[in-house]
Amino acid sequence: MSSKYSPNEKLSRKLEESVEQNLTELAVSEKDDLNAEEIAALDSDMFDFVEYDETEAERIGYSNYSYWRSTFRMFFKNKMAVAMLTIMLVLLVFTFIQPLLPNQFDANQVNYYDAHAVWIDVTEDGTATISGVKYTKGDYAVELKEGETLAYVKVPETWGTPKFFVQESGGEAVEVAANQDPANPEWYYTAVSEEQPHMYVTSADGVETTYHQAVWVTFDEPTGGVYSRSVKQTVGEIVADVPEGHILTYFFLPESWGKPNVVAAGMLRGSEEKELELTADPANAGWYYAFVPVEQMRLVITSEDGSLKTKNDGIAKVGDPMEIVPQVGFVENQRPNEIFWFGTNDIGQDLWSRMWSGTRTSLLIGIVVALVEAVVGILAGLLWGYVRKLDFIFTEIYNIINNIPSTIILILATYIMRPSVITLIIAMCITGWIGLARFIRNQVIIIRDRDFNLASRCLGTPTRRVIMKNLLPHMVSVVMLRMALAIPGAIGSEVFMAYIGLGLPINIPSLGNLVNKGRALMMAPTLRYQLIIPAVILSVITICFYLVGNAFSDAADPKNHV
Amino acid sequence: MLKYTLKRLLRSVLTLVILITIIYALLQFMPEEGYFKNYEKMSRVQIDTALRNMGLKDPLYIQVGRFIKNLLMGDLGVSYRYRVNYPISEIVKSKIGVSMRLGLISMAVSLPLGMCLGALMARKKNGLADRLGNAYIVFIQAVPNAVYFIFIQLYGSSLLGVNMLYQEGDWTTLILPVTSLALPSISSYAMWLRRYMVDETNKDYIKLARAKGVPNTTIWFRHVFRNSVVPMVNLIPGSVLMTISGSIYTESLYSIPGMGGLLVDVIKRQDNSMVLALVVLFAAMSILGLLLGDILMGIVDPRISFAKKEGSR
Repeated sequence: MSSKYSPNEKLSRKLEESVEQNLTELAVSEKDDLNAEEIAALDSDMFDFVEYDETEAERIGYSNYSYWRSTFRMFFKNKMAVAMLTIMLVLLVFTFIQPLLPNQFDANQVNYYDAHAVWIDVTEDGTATISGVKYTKGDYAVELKEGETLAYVKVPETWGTPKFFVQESGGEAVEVAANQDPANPEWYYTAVSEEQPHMYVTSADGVETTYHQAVWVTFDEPTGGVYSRSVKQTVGEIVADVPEGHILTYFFLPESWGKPNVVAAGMLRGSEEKELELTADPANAGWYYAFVPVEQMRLVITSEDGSLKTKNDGIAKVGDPMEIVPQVGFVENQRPNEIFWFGTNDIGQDLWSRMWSGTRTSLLIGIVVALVEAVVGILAGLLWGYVRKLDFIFTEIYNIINNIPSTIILILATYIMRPSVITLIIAMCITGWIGLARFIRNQVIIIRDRDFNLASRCLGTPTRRVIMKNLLPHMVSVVMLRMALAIPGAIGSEVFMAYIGLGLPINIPSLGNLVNKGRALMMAPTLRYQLIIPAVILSVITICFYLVGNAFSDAADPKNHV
Repeated sequence: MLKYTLKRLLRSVLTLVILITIIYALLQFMPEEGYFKNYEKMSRVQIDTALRNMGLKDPLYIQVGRFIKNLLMGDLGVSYRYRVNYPISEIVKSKIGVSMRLGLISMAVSLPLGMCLGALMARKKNGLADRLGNAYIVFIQAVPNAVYFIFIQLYGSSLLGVNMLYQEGDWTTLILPVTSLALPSISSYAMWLRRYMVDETNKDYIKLARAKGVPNTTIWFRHVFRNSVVPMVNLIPGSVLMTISGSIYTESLYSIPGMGGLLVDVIKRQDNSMVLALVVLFAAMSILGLLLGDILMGIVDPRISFAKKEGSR
């Protein structure tokens, strides 16, 4: 024990002795014990057990510390996390109100081109785009007769009120009235009959026109077909000095073709052939032009090295302006435009509404999985830690689940059950909860026998309250982190399952289905928007959840509340 | 140590047996067409006879027992749809080498890079390298790899001018798959090493070494780095073994004829026996990897003891 040289002893001995002496002297005069009457006279409160009282229990700490207030204060100090939280909330809210907005397509609705009308968009330099996608609001402006097609035309403001001309193939052009659509003031319309299907548009003064007396030849990569149209596709002025008896023809071929070689031949087989001289158009990269003799309009196009070859049975009847016929089929693979904001897929479904519908599905899966993991994980973890008899069983389950890669369990579970939202949720929940339960169990065992819990137990605090007030706050940070990470994890798993063919059926849009469908099209650069848009939105969502979850778990850790 | 190893080994075997039983129990609910090549053309009687011949109508314990008995003799059964009546062990044998080579190359790339990145981040904590590294780690961890793998394939092939799909004998086609496999491993190695090193620098003995005047380089290399690498050792056998199972996604994306791509293939063709065999194989790999990791760590770090402490639970 203490040595007699210790400074402590030397100094305090005298003090202690005097106090002891004092007490002894006092005790001599005090009575040794109380008799029965004296005890009865005392206040009965002194002999009661300490009772547990909820309001008194709250009064133990006299600081104004509040766990949740500190957590939020810490969280809002992190500017990055707040920004991410804002993005996340905006996305979440928007995802769920999107179907309620006006002018939204149904996610699974297949859109067809309009059967009786076309919409023609004319630009400043007379380039016209014909589309079967309905750009006007409301019903048709006129009743159509049998065989008629309604042509809506939008011209630049500088053109004034446009003039419409129609003609039969090779015939005389006749001016028809351009009516303004009252419901859509920027659109003019006319009904085009079957007999005179060719039409062109000029400005009010007749200077600008969509009829250029030239042909634009393009190559459609997915189908391998050659298209020739008299609708202007290059920008700027077209070549003016066309030799007599020749047609100005523009060519646009994929980059891999190099500079193409074009041989023109007559319509009859075995007729004379002529190699065309191609000139690169300085104003339009990738475009070449040549003069095709009127008698030799059948073209054979070969690539620079001769490895690729395509042909065309006669370029468009160049004497005629554009032909007004309704487009047939799905509104397929439209690039993003003002009607289909994210474009359409190969069967004409609106990708904008599919995107948000898919986000809803994926978020639903993610949130349900996270909730189930949290609830089951916490309950199982508390049982595991508190009930010693269950320890063996839980440890064995843990050993099994933890030993097998979760991807394998996921694949196996989905393989055995039929793919559906419920299946995916169940499969993802099988593996997730055990990690959280294990963590909770370890924390319970560490904290359960700490002094403050012993004190609570001595004061008669119910177990329920010990768990809620003494144990769980230590775990909130990890539980929140796990939940926040479970959501992007579940979304990622869904994408993976869609890839390996065990995802949701195609009529349930999900981010996985959309990315997977886009991936199949990634070889065609013009269709790449179908991959990039869902991929970007998916990444934004997962990064937001990840960062917000990390920031919140840091903020929720009581150790950081200083 | 020996006692512990034996106990762990026994437990692993038990886990595997339980897993096989669970799979067999679940396979009872599977559609029958996963056992036949031409299910549509068969009559009810034919199907029943064939199922009985395959032993699929036997009680569960007999099926499991038979599978385990065959497994011990290296026989994984035959494929029903993928390659009809071809032994699965033969199919697997031809694929393992491809997966393993790919995995080992990507590990040889990612382990040094990940270690360097982690050490650099820990050394200059909160510096520029740390911030950039963290952004990289967050990106890789948060974005599903299904997404960025596609973009690596898409833009990587046009940027480097290499072929998009794997070709036997053309080493340039290995660049993109190896990159895809290495990116996530680098991020996880770097993340763990950084965390261990930062924890280590806050320990008292490092402070004492500083106070004594030990040079900074010595502290970092002799103490911090060496002590932080020990927990990393735990990960390595698992990673090596898991290379055999290959990355399911990468192999399938680049059509590399390995094990991972095989699993996706047989799932798409619904070949029940092959799915079962591959799942068991992958699970066995992972169990063995964890076991080896723990044992290796015990060998490397003499402070770790697996004997039960007195009075601990």
